[in-house]
Amino acid sequence: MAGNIKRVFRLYGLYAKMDWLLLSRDMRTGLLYIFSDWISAVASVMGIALLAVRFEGIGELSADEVLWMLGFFTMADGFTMMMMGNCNNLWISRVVGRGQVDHMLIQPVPLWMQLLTGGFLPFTGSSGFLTGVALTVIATVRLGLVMTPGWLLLLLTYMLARVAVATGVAYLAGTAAFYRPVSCEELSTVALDALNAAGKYPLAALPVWAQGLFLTALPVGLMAYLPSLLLLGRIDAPAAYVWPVAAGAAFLSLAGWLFRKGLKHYARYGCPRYKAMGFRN
Amino acid sequence: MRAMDARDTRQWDSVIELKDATKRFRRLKHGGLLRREYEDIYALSHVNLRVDQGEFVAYAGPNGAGKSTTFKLLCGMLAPNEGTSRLFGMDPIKRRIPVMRRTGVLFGNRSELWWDQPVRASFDWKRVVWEIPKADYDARMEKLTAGFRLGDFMDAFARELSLGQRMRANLALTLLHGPELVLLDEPTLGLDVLAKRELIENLKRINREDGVTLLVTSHDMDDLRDMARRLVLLHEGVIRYDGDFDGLLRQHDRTDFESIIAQMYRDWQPVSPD
Repeated sequence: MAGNIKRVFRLYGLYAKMDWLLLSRDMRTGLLYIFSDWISAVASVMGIALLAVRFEGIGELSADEVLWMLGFFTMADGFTMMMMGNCNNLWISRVVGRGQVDHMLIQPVPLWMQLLTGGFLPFTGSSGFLTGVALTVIATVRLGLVMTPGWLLLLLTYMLARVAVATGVAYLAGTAAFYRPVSCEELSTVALDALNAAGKYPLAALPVWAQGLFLTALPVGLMAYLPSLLLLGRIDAPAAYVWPVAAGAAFLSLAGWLFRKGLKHYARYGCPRYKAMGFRN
Repeated sequence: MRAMDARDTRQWDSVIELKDATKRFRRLKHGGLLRREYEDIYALSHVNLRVDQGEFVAYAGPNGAGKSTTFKLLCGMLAPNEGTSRLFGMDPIKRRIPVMRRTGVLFGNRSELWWDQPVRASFDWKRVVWEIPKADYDARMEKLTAGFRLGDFMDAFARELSLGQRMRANLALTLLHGPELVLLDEPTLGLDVLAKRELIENLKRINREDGVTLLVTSHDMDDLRDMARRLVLLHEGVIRYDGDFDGLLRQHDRTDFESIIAQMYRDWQPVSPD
């Protein structure tokens, strides 16, 4: 166990060094790339923020609370990209569908460890995270929130839970590529895009059954909405505080189980890249 | 080779052992409106192959003969439908990590180099991932840099290398952890005469000096004869010859391999090395 933890950190260090090498090879282009990522991250949530300002909030959330939710969304999404963004580790259907699992199988490292560490991009992949931190700090100050160590710990926990849910969904969709490598190559991307596009909106205006659906099977509300309500103190039920973590664990566990089944299928049938019709779409 | 590895290797008579290994894939024969018909394609059919430590084996056959499938079985990427596949006495799927610590794999049409990084970064990456001790790493890097003339392009990006340079770098990377077994699928693919000659000399050297077991595929029989001592010929998933190169020539009373192989594939009769 201790050996594995040490190795995980050594691998994180390795991938951090490689990311720095990539950035420092052409610092000007690299920094321009990061700067444009900042603009794009802010732009992607500003539409909803402006709607909230125009209508003095959305649902039960005030405009500043909506801004806080969007900050959390951007920060957590950026954190997911920073931890899993390299080598298509998050968009796993691409790795599986293109037969690139072979490259992983020849490494004397457990697959979970490769998938956990190989996507780490602390420099070139940190733009979204830093933008999110800035937005969250601005909204926190505007709301006058008191940041206690316990609250910060809860924030970190929900951010990790959000990474777990998003990764779980990407892998749940991605396992289909073991069975239909060509057709399902982009399935993780589609699933994550859908999750992120809808995950920026407050769910308050939706009927209860839809909110239930979006907080469980289609976990759009776990991207930012529910964690924000909990961190802003808008929900009293203590059981609700456990839900983002429980859902993250459930999605990851289910994805891990299906991924192992997919790997067995891969070993049995390989990765046929060609379809009967002869084209690749 | 580390002392522990040498001990482990002596426990097993063979480095590679395929027993009755069969691998079949399903192919769509006819896709109707309501019914879909499939047929089984045998990539490998009841293959028995044993390679002992220190052997240099040429694994030849035409396209689609089953060479790459054999390599994938040996690396644990595919599981046989029937029979067994063992490396160092271990199942490469169940014991993937210890098997891969002792094995180097290179597919000629693929690269293990990091595309957007300097070549040196790929070697540093491998040192950490394979947990190669620093002293071993430094000693091997010195030897590999000289042997494969890597010094000229260690700081260039992998994507900037010529095909020959890329193959040299890939092969050196494959050997960096001091593997006891090296599996090379089409390593001479696309190389010019000089690059090919260098590659062959390097492979012969690591086999002779370091006792590394090699299984190499190629379509070029002259290349294979130049480097290997034993020839295994595969066709349509069946081993059709297993013996030395001269034995095959004597058996057919010919002086060139191309005509024998062409005849062999036309006739499709089992050929015994004896």
